Amino acid sequence: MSVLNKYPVLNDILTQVEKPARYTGGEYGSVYKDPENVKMRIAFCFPDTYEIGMSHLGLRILTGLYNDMDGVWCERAFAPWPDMEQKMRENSIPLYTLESGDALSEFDMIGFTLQYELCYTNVLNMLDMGGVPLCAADRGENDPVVIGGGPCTFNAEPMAEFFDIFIIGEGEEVNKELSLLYMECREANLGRKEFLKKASGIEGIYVPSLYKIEYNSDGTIAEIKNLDSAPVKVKKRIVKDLDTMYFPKTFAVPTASAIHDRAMVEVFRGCIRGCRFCQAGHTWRPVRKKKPETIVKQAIEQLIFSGCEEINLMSLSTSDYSELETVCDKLLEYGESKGISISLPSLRADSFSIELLNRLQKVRKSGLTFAPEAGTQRLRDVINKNITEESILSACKMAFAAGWNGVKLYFMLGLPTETEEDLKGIAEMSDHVLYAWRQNAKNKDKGGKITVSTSSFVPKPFTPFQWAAQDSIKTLNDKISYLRSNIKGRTVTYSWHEPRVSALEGLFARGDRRLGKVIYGAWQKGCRFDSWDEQLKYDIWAETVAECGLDFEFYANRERGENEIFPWDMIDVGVSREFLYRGWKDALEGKPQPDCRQKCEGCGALALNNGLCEVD
Amino acid sequence: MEKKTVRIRFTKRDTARFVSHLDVMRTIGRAMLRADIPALKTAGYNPRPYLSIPCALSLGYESLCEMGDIELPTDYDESGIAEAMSAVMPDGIKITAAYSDGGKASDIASAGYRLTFRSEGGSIGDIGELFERKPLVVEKRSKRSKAETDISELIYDIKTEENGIFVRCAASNTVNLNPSVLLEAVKRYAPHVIIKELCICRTDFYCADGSIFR
Repeated sequence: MSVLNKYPVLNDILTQVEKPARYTGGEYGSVYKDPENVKMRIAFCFPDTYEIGMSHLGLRILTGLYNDMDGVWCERAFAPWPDMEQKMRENSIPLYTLESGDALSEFDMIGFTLQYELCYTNVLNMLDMGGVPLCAADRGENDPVVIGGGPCTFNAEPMAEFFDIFIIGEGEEVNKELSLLYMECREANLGRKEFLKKASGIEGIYVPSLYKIEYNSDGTIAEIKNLDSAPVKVKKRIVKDLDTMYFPKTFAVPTASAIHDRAMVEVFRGCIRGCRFCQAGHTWRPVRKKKPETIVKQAIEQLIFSGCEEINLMSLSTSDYSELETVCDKLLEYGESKGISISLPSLRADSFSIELLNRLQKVRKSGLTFAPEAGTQRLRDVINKNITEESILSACKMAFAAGWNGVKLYFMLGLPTETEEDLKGIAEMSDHVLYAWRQNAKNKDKGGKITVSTSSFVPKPFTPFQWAAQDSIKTLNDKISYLRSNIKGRTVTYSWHEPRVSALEGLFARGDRRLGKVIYGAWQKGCRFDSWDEQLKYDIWAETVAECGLDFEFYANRERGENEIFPWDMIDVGVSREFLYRGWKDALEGKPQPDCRQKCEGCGALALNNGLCEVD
Repeated sequence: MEKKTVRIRFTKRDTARFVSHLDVMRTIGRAMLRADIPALKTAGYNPRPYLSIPCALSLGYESLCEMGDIELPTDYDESGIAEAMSAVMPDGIKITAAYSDGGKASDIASAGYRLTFRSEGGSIGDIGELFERKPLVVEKRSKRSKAETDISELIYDIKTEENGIFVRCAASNTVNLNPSVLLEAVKRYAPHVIIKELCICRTDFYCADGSIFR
């Protein structure tokens, strides 16, 4: 029975909304079970549109993992776009999962993945539309347990009052343990409180209601108190052996195109680079690798099942995987005759990468993207982005000579210690790349396309820059204006990320629990999909922050003291605070750090993995 | 390589009616990869299987009679295609047949549609009678202009059924009537009637002599 049978009025509604296939389910690979014959039902919720959610590897892994368990059925739900939300509310249709069409309120557990801060209002909206009380404290024995995972949970304090449980770190093992505990507790007739207390004993589980936060009169945190038997520090979970770790052979393949509609396999977790702005590069440590044969096997299984035309080898820096060529050769051997292409995200700008790409992309030539991040060597040393302008230029020359006609260059604005000199460096680098195109492009008549994009730097927890002040919206706008008038040439396009979006991201990235009422207030006033420029209602946010008696600048634009208690101090990601602080001080002096392959700087993360860090 | 054109016929029902024309093309391409069917591909940077679907179906319509033409090596036996591809399709899309002796798409003259709905303010019979009016004038809107058109000449057959109405109307290269236009006629001639939970399903294609096109 499809959702159309369950809600006949959808037959009318779906002809009136954009992209109706978002709301119907029925994709190849969807998993259906008999609700009468399962012990536990989970709704995996992605708080953004269907197209974005279905591009997410974590969704494939976790829904697959749960559905592989006996007696567990895991379904999917996504945030309805405002046009659909309006129709659903008018017709009293609850937010339903795409498989059974049941409302979120009918599930035992609801899991949200929190990929970025600006999805927070969507979480509230989905709970509300699904008939689930928003605040954890208001949920009773018959309400679902609401859990959150993903990168934002390293500091999800602004969302603390809405979640029963946060999962800190990698989910493959801990999700399983948590659901087993849930079924056990229910069989033993234990209540919600008992279950949460027991859950807090599992490594990687953070139960926010078991911590009490006290504040100083200046607004900083005075103390984080753990209640009952909750651990003082919640240690991040990692999976030690990626080769034996669960990885799905099947998954729901979107019928309507997702943003990244392709098969995906991770090659390793962690990163040897240590870019100081990068949260993932620190929170995913230590480095653990999959064996080449595991990668090839999993890639081919995914391709055969899905019929996808593209396989993506994922990691934070795929060119750092030492057996990358072996893996690519094997996959080429399998896919070339079938028209399957291999894509490598996050490549470093070096000759190795270009040679490899050139060999891989006989089938389909994708765009080339390099991320110098900053315009001068001085600033690249500050952020520890160990790449030189020469190597970027020589990679561009090689690429143009090999037939690429364009390149995208990514930079960040508002990095600590940035001056006008650094902005000028961005404009100059784009000139140099343009010159390289003129000198080397094979077919200039077609025209080149060089895109310079800037995003605004947002300091993130668990990075050396967690102490830094974020630039104000005004400063960022000035910097954007400078670049708009200084990046020249018809072949070069400049695009930038909206600073107001970054300001909000900054507010929540290092925010504390008091921001919960801001999120609630802004949601009530209609904020949704805040990461979408056309949906962002910045003025409502600014107004709500003020109404709640809070100060935007306190959270975003203030440099923190060395010993300030951070809202996320109950979390232990393995990388020590001392290491991060050393990075912050070195950054201010313009001192880069060797990558983990050159020299171990003792970040501390290898303690999570019995002293093992597979940097080679 | 010696090649032949094979016509696959498929249904598009239930939730699949909201899969767009382009996504149907992609889905068929993928199903052929899943089922390991050696369809021939275009050359160039972005190889795609050769696939042509005449008479694109409007988004939101069901169909029992869709068709797509693919290219296969001459010695490939197409008899197993329907079963193999149906097993790897999203819900609502089933391959019903595959054959290499299909008619020329230009021979299609009309198509049958079944309109199922609930009505308020008038019975299904009333609406069926309304469709039989001559002339039946509706306002046809294009991007640039509005024009009053008599569509009665484009409707070849009307049958009132239990839950709706069957119509056969023009669907050739030169004259074509999208059955959604009939709803404009309801709005014009019987504005008090409300149509709910409408589902339009294309049931068959016909040649000029009224025989079923295959």
